[in-house]
This record gives sequence, structure tokens and C-alpha cells, in this order.
Amino acid sequence: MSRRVLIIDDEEDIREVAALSLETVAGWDVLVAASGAAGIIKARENHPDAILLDVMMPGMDGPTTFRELRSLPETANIPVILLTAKVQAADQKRFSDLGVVKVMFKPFDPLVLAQEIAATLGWQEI
Amino acid sequence: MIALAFSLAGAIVLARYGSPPTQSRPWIFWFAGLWTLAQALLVAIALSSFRSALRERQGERQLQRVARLHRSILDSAGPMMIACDLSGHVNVFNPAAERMLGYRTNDAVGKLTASDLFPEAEMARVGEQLAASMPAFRTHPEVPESTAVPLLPYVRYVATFPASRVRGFEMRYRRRDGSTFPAMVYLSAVRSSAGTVEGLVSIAVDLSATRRAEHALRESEERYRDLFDNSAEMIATLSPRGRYLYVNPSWQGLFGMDSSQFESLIGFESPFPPEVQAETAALFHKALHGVRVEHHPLRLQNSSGENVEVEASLSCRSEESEPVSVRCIFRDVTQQNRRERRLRIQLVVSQIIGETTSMDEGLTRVLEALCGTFSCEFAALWNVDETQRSIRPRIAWSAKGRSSEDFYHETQSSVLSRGQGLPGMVWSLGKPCWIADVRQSPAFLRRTAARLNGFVSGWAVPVRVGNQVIAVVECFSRQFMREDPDLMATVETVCGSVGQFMARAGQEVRVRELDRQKAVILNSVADGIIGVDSTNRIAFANPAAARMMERNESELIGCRVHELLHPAAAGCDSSCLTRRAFQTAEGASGQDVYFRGNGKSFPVEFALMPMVEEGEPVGSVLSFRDISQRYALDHMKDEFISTVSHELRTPLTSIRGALGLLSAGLLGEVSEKATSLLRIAVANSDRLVRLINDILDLERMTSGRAPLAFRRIALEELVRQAIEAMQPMAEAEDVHLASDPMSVYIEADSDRLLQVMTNLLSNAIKFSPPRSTVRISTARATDGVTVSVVDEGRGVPADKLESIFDRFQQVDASDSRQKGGTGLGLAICRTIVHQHGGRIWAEQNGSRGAIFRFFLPERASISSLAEEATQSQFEQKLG
Repeated sequence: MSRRVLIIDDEEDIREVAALSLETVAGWDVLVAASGAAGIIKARENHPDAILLDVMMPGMDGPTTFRELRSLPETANIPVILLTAKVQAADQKRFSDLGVVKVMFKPFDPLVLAQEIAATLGWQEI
Repeated sequence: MIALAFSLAGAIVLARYGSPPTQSRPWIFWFAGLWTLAQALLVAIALSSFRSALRERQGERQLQRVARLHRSILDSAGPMMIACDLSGHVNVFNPAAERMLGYRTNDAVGKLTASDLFPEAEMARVGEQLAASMPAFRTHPEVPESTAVPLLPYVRYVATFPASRVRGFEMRYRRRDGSTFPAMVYLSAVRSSAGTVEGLVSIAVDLSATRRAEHALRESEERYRDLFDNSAEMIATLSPRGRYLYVNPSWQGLFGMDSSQFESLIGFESPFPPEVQAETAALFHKALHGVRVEHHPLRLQNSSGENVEVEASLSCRSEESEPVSVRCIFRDVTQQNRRERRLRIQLVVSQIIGETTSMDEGLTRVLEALCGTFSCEFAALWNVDETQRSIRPRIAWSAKGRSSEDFYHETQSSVLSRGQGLPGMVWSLGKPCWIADVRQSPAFLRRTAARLNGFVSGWAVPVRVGNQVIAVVECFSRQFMREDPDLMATVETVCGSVGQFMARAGQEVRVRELDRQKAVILNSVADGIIGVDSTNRIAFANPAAARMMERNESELIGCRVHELLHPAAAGCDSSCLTRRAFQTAEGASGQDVYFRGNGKSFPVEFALMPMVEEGEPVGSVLSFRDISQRYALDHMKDEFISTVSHELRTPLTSIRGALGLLSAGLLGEVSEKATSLLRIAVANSDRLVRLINDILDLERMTSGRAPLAFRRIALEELVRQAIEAMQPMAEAEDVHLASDPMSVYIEADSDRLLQVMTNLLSNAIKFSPPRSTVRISTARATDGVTVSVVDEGRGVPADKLESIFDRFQQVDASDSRQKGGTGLGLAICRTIVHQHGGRIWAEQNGSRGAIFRFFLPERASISSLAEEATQSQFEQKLG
């Protein structure tokens, strides 16, 4: 069963590499959004199985987007994995306190990214 | 009978011739006349005979009466009456003699001789004296030959002088029992009708009682004379005209003159030195006019030239309101006055020293007191400057009245070297100096000025602290003063106190200076400093503390320190580090949040230092710094690092991802060469990521913003985790990992410690040859545990054992490239171990391989704990 994953990141290069990685390594459907607002819309429309959410984005940042997603009934239950380039301890604590299922750090290994997501969410197919 | 015969013949004649007388017979008439005359004569003779007979009978009766009278006189007389004949035999012995000598009259009369009544040789002794008392020119009457020898001088004596001129003399009598007594003897001669001496009568009066009385009187007189003669007081009696009548030895001694010299003086004041003559004359005059002079103080020099102080008391003895004599008593009070003066000046000086806070003021008063006590008009204190090897005036004092200006200025402008001038001399000799006439002394450099201002005598005394002369006190008088060793001794004693005062005051000046410096420091430092007493109440607070707390300094004093720093709003519990630190009075430092007067909080970095005196905690000092700004800066820095790391990672993420996908061949076939290049690109982008991570780690740890989470952990478990984490790498390198697990619990941050172990293991694996072993072992050490990682690799050269822990320091510069290290791993390890209060070092493992060891204390130190606790509170309080 093919999984559908939404990637919300303002960096186009990262969106592309991550999407390519998940598609080629795991064969999942990948949706992308370039901002938090766009991501929320895509999430409501497509109801993905998981969302990879960047933290630092212009406008609506990752945590804000996450809270927004949580506040919407149709997206409230979608597991969100934060993908961040921030590795400060304070940041990490802040993020994990938000209620996301996992915080993953950039740069990631494109060959194991899908594996890690699946392991986190308990998906068996990989 | 003739008359009778004649009258008879006449009667016959008359009867014969008849009777009318006629002219014719004139012879008848003549005859009748003669006859009548004869008759008358006869009658007269008859009458006379009758009267004589009568008188004879009366004389006999009278003699008897006289004899009775003599008898009763003899019997009743008080004096002894003894008579003896010339042979010395006693023939009269009256009852008084019986009483006094103890013989009965019957035993004495005719039986005793004079010699029996006197002690042996007494008669000879007195006899010689009597003989000697007789004038030689006088011819002595003959003494009857029958006179006994012992009586000779006595008989000669009474025979020579008429009774009226025979004097009584003293002799000792001997009683029958042999005892003796003195008696006054009056001797007289018993003479025959022819006037020759037939015996001696002695009347003697017992002198025993008189002698006793006399003795007593003499004793008494002697006592008085003795009293005067031996009196320490000087006593003189003078006539109203001022002539000396009596002077006792003390008086003579005072002036060095004898009695006769005094008798030749014309006035009371004559023996006195010229400077006190007027004064003494006035005293005498006063006494003579009935005014009693009592204890009038006088100063003079005695015959030996010593200064003597006396108290003069003079009074006049009068008879019928006419002055008879003037009594004069001088008491030598020199010693007493010296003692009193010494005590007084010491008392005064100690009072001055005790009550003055300013050294110069105190010293000025001491100089004034010295001048007042020792009759001086100018005094100065010179300070010894050992470093400059000079002595210079510090303070000068001059009495009001006559100007001392020249001398004052001369003194003030002098700087003398050791041994120069009076102060220099005293400094060099270390003992007092006296110059009786400063005007004439060549050694006295200020003599011209002294002459101008009339100073005559001067002396100086060293002021010592221990053995060291620190100053010199000098005094000058306009009067001539003879050298007075006692004065010097007194002033030396006083100067001892002055020395202590100066030393103490010097210390006080230093203490004040330190206080001032302390105040300046406390007032000027930006850090808040609060001192608390042992009850944790604020004893002092500096302005910065007050400023930060937004309260008045005075408002802070007495406050309970914890309640001030953490008011109720802070919601402190027992975990509050500041409270705990104050309560346990242990040192602590770290970060915390304090509250200002307006309730606003601010972050601080603080240090608490306990104060311990003689092993007892007496309080503590809290210093703190408002780190709001630094906190803001840190925050900005964090932001910056966060941003930089984000900005670096973002492109790296794309690069790494793209390279990863490409090198995996998932996006189509890649040539072998391209694959190799892609692998290099992947490895280096990984290395770049690690480098960024390590830099961030190290930065975080060294800035103290990566707090350690201490908890009790089992070291064994941590070793296991580290081996597990490194196993894949070891397998890849074909290196065997071994461990000697030991059950030890320590307080540590497990993540950090794991990082240390994995870093060390990773290094060891990297530098180990294939099929070698890397062993991690733990061992108990005193108060802690040592963890060792031992490899069989190429080892660390001795000169690099230390430096490899520095940043970017590797054994070989090419290692980072070849082994993929960042050069920061050991620096991070060292930082982490230090944060645990431990230490890390490298050793050579024999000929082959290296050993990396780190020691961790069993309990993390308080400062590390503090940091941890503070950090959590800090974050919490600041939100």
C-alpha cells in the first residue's frame, strides 16, 4: 500500500531531494508545499499519511503550522515529523514539547530517510 | 674675893675714922669712894655669880632639850645620818640609815667602819675626785695622824672648806645584802672645841628615784634630739631677725653647710640659690607676721647640684604676742613629685592616646602635655624615615606668649641625617640627650634661632617601637635646666606609649586607607555585593547591589537575604540554590534570577563566599551581576549560531541528499569513476556536517549554555552502550572491542559521558590496525573512578600527549583528511570531563598503542551541581 507523505519546506532543493529520496527509495507518493499556509491547504485537501515539516520558514514557521494543523479536525490526527537544521538543545526541547512524533535533523541521508520515517510511524512495508 | 677683902678693909677703915667727912681728911673721901665702889663691885659680883649659877642650871636643861631634839631629828630624818670617828668607826647611825642600808643601829655603831658602807673602790674613786676638786694653791690644814687612810681625802676636803662651801657629792652605798644605790652625800666635820677634826658626819639622800626620773627625762630629751637630728625633714629655727638658731643635720645636708656656718648667715634666704631667694625671703616674712605657710613648693638645687623639690612649712612661735622664733620645716618631695609627675604625665598621655583618633592631633597634645609638665615652651616630634635615611619634623608645638617663630621655622625646615643635630643624635644613639645650654652647644644646629627666641636648655628622647627608633621628641625651655636623668626616664616611658600610639595610628591609617579603598571598590564595582551575617541578614550592601535591586542601601540592611532576592513571587522551594547556599554556608556560584524592588526579575550570575573566622562561620558575601544584557547577547549569539547552522545545513542537506541519491545509483547508471567521485563528495559532506556539529557542540559547552543533566548512573551500563554504538565501526575496521565491566555508580550526565566514551573508542578504532583489540576498562580510584581506553595502534608521541586535547590538534595533520576526524573530538571530551569535575589524559601504552584515561569524581562538585540546579531554575524562572 502506497503511503502519501506531504513535505512542507520553503527550500525548493530540499523539497526535491527529499521527494526524490522518498519516491525512489520507498516508492511513496510525495506531495510538496513551499510554505506553511500552502502545506495546510494541501494537507486538508489530500489528507496525507504523514507530514515532514520544516521548522524555519518565512511567514508561518514550522511550529505555527503544526499548531494550525493540530487545530483543524481534518489534519489534527496526521502524524507530523519535524525536519530541522537547528540542532541547539533548547530548540530540540522546544520542538519535542510541541507534540510532534519525531524531530529529524538536516542534513539527512536520502537512502535512510524513508526508513527512519517508517520506523518512527511503525510502518511495516519498508 | 679681892672685892670682898677690899670691902671688908674699907668697912674697918670707915668705922675707925668716923664719919663726917671733913676737909681735913680728904684721903677719907677717896677711901670711902673706893670702898663704895668695891662694895658695888662686890654686889655686882655676887649678883653675877648668882645669875651665872642660875644660867648654868638653865644651860643644862637646854642641853638636854637640844640632845632630845637632835635625837628626834636623827630618828625622824628622811636622809641617812651616819657619823664616824677618824678611824672610820661608825658612832651615829640613824633609823633612816637602818632602813636604807639594812643594818640595825646596834649592829652598826662601833662595829662597822665607813668602808663597810660602800662598794669596793667607791670610797677611793670619790676620794680621788674630791682630791682633784681641791685647788692646788691652797695650803691644806693638817689632818690628825690617827685618821684612817680611806678617810683622808674626805677629812681633808671638809677641813679645807668652811661648812658653807662644802658641796654635796654623789656616791654609791652598799646595803647589807650587797646591793647598791646612789645617794647624794653631804659631809661635815665633827670638830673638837679646839677646832680639830675629830670625826665626820654624813647626811645622805637616796637618789634612786631621782636618778630614775632624771634618766627618764634624759631619755626623753635624747629622743627628741634624736628625732630632730635624724629626721629626714629639714628643720631649722630662726630668730625673728632671721638668724639661724638651730638647724638639724638634714637641713645642713641640703645646703652642705654646718651649724656654725648657718649661725653666721644674716638672713633666712641667704643659703638658698639666687633664683629662689626672693621667694624664700617672702615666705619667712609671711610666717613672721603670723601667717602660717604650709606645704609651699620650692625648687632648688642641693649641695650636690641635684634638683630638689621641697614643701616648705613655716610658722612663728610667739610669747605674749611678740614673735620669739620662726620654725621652718622642709619636706623633700622630689621623689614623690617625680612619681606623681611620672604618673600624671603617663596618665595624661594615655588619656590623649586613648581618646584621639587623629595621630597628629594626639601627638600635638602629647607635646603640649610634656611641655606643661616639664616647664618647657617648645616641643617637636621628628619622624625617622629609614628609607630616606633622614629625620624630619612632623609636628612642632610652642607655648603661647613669647615668640618662638624663628625657632619654629628653623625646626620645620630642617631635614637631618642620622647623627646630625639633636634629633639625629638621639636617633643614632637610641638614647636621650640633654643640652643644658643649646645656645653654646656646637652640636646644636639651631642655636642661632634658639638664641633669638631665648631658648636655653633642651633635651630629646627617642620614640621606639620594639628596638627601632621611629621618632624623636624634643623639648626646649627658656630656663636653664640642669640635666635631669629622672625626667629623661619619665619621658622615655611616655615615649614608649607614644611609639605604640604611632604604630597603632599608622596601622589605623592603613586600615582606614584599606577601608577607603574597599569603599571605593565596593562603590565603584558594577557587581552587586551583599554581606550577610550568620543569621543571614544583610549587614552591608554596595550601591551596585542597591541599584540592581532598585532599593535604597539602608533599606537592604537587616533584611533577610533570601526573602529579598527571592520574594514570595519567586515560589522558592527547598531546591532553591541561593537559599540552600546561604543555609549551608557553603560556597556556591552559578546563575539565578533575582527580583527587583518593583517585582521584576532579572538574571544574575552569582558567587557566594562563606566567611569563616577561627573555624566558625560568621556570615557570607554574595556577589552578583545582572546578566540581562549578556543573557540577551547570548540569546542573540544562540540565534546567530542557530541561524548559521541552519543556513549551512540547508545547502548541505541538498548537496548530501543529491549526492547520496546519485551515488546509490537509484537515478540511473553512473560510471565507476563518477561513483568514486560521488563517494568522496558524500564522505566530505558528512565530514562537513560533523565539523559543524562539533563546532556547535564545543561552543555550547564552553559557553556554559549546554547544562549537564547530572544523575546517578551505572557506569557499566554506559560502557555497554558505548561499545554497542561503536560496534559497527569496529567491525568495519576489523577491530575487536573488549571491556572489563565493573559495577560503579557515579553522578554524571550520561549522554555527555557516552559522547566521551564513543569519541575515545572511535579514535582508538580509527588508529588501530586490523585484528587488534581496543579495550575499555573501569577502575576504582580514590573518591572516583577512572575509565581507560587502550588500543594497540601507533600510539601518541610523548610531546603530543598534552596538546592532542587542544582544538584541531592531531598527531598528524593529515589525519583529519584520512580518518575523517574533525580535530575537535578530544577537545570536546576534555570539556565534558572538566564539567564533571574530572580530568582526562593520554599515556603511551608501552611500545605500541595509546591509553586514554579519564577520572571522574564519585560525586560531582558543588559548583557543577550548582550550575545544573541553577540552570533549570534559571530557565524556569525566566520562562
